Amino acid sequence: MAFGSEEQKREHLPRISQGDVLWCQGFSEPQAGSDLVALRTLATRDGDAYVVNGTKIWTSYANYAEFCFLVVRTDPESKRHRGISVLLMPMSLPGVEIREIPSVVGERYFHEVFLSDVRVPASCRLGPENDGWSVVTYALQFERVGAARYARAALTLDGLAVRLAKEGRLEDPTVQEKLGRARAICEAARLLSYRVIDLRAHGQPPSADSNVARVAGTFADRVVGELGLDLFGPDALEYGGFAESNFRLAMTAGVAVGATEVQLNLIAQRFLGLPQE
Amino acid sequence: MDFELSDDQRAIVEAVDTLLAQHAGPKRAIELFASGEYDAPLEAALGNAGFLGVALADETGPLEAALCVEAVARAAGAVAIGASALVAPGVAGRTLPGPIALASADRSPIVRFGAHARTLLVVDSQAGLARIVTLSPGDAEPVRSNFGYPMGRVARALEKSGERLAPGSHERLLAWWRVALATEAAGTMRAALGVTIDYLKQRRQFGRAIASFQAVQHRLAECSVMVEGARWLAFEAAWRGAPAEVAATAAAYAAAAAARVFLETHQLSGAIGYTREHDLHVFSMRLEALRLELGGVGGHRRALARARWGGGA
Repeated sequence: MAFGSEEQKREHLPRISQGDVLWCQGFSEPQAGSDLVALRTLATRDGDAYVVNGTKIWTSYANYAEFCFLVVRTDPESKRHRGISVLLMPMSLPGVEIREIPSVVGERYFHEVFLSDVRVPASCRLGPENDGWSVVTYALQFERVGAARYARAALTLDGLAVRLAKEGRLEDPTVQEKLGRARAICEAARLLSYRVIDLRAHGQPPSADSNVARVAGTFADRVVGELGLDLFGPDALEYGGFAESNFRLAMTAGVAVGATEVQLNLIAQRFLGLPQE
Repeated sequence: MDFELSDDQRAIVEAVDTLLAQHAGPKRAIELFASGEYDAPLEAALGNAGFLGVALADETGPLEAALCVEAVARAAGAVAIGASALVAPGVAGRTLPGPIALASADRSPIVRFGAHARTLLVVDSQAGLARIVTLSPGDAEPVRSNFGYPMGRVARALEKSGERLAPGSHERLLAWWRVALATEAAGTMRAALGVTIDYLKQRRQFGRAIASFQAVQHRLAECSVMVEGARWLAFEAAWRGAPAEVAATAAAYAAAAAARVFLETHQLSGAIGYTREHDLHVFSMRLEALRLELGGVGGHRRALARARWGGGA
């Protein structure tokens, strides 16, 4: 919406808003995780296309996605933030190979995406060439509240309470305190996320408020994930159970969408104005 | 609820901040606390300017009142601001003669502002209602305390006297009390964190500002997430008129955050943080008093869980 050409908006926005298209995000690379600007995947201009070579990793939904929001380096001589561009790459292009990375989070959760001489039409570039970093940071500010993790955590918590009620355990003051604690943390995450959305709706530019909301969301995920196992004990260890399924998703909270430590760095510098070394 | 203050709300906060810059602040709080005094001039100034009746005015409501309460707490006002500006309007539907103390017949008789109060609002769970008790001098005795507010012990017999409000009104009192203490805690935490950050930016050790160490920054950043959460939960609870569950949510979150903020601000401030010359203690010690009210964090969490999912007391 902010950076797309008219043609890109026509092609993508209707399907995205209808929710009938799945995207994945080509951000992390084996050598570029939290330090995303160390990315190396190279896109070399060749006529009306970019020839892309490199590897993306941890890509969720790569196996289902039709498109990839792909971050590449378009200037091979460039360092760090300069020389980066964004490509809206169809996953069906020749040279795109997907390999699952088995993990304890679940099946078909993490993937590696190998890109070998993939010809991506130049018209797929989102925003200016070599200045894609501004697009990426803009998008990340939204991603940090986009996935409504606090809502899933709160729903899971309600689900846990229903199961506890069936076992007649809601009278237990210890159980009440644990549930109450988790609920309050989920609610804080909800409000801080609403706040970010509300500020954007009022036309305020992205800010460290989204990092604050993201960390609050991580707290919510963690407390509910842990509580589910806590309350049901070894019964919760069986694969695919309610608490177990939630735990597997919740355990990635502090790492997905940028490690909590990176969020805390940004809060410290931009929200609290703390000095760097 | 909008998360960006309207122009009118911003004007209210600016006006109360201006008043507080003249009449309050940690230095004044330190003086008053040393002599065990209540800040009657500040309460009068807030009352004359209309800030104690904001919850009941035509153009404003409890959210605007909460904005004022948070501001007074940030400025370490030694007044029963939450009880006056949020609880009395919410429970009695009118402002009441201050200072106002809040007590519960089945909890500790040691309450904030107890010895100075002219009005006592009492939770009487046994009778299933709230009471408004008018106090005379000598009805309550001062209690020596290190926890930032003038404390008083209220005679138990008083808690069964006074004007009886409608059946069920004790639930309203409990809820508004929780909103008030959450809002006061939010403002107090914000100030405690602000004092700490200011100090750590200028304090240098190992050749650099302490605030530039990442280990320190992460702890301050986590505290700020909790302070922001507490603040918006309190504002939402006020804006929604203190439904039991929402009020307990705000109090549960604020009480837990207060314990963490106390710990981190003192640990990071080092020895100077314990001294009476440094402002941190004005706010930090109050946090400990606030987080113990109404059964403390456990009480709020249980109240939240019962309001949301049922289950007995």
